[in-house]
Amino acid sequence: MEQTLLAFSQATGIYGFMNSPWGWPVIESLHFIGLSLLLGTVGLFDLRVLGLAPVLPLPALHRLIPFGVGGFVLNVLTGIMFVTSVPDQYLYNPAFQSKLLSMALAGLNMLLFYSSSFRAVMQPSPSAQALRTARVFAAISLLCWAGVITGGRLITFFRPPFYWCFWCG
Amino acid sequence: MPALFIAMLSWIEESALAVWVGESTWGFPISLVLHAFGMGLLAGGNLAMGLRLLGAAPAIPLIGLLRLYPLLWGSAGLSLVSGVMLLSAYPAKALTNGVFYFKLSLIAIGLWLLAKPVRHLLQQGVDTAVQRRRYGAAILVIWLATITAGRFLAYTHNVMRVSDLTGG
Repeated sequence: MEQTLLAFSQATGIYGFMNSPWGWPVIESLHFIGLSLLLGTVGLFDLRVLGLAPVLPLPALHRLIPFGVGGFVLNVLTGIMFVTSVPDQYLYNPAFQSKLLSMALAGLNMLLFYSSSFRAVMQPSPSAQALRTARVFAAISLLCWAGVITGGRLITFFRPPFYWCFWCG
Repeated sequence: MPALFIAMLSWIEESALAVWVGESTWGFPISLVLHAFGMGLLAGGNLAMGLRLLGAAPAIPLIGLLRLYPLLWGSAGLSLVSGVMLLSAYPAKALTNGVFYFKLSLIAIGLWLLAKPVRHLLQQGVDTAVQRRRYGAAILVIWLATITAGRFLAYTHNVMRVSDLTGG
């Protein structure tokens, strides 16, 4: 796994770029910009569902979501650049593994939201039931993204050897 | 380097807060995580506001954006507190780096924009597109630059501890 990722990074030139003097900080800056875009749009939408600034119509606020998706795509791309360049600092790292798990849960939660209460809650005056369900999705979404950010920020603090945690195998 | 400046750095580095942040197991990671939340909400909220002012999501009522101010000020408070925690552990690292002062200046301009001209623009209810887009662009540039400057702090410092300055 490590060798495959590293070979990809080297073959594509990512490795060389990431090890150039300003490669890593430039890509990190983009990764943090993506994070902010995601939290500033998806996080804001979640907070609005939970009761912040009710004067802002949900459908109007939802028009900002594509920018959050853009931020997420940016972070997947820049994230791949980090992970493939130093795979052994990520693959066996519990902080990174927790981050991926939180991301998967956020994705699953998003799919469930869009396939259930999304339509109802985007109506001009959504029912109390629709709002209640949407609030649960919004709270889970915020918790998951908070978990993603926490895991990401802790990656540099937990670089244990591969035998460190029981589930790392 | 002036003796008074070194003395101030030493005082910060030896404070109880600095010792907790710098030497306890969780002090530093907690500060980092809180600063990331603060950044995501403050810079992210500003990016959303800037995009709206530039013309994205036009159905969002401009005056309604004023309701986001408590969230933005709260995030600024969280960023300030967690930033002071991070700064306390390595005062020499940040305060001898020009990039740090550049970042603080950007934040000051960004918060002033929010508190004065942008608030005025949102309150007046008259949509003057040229002015609106100008402020939207300014907000985007300021906060994208702030995030970048913050990230570069980890790569542009000359020293870590006060002892690196005094040779002790």
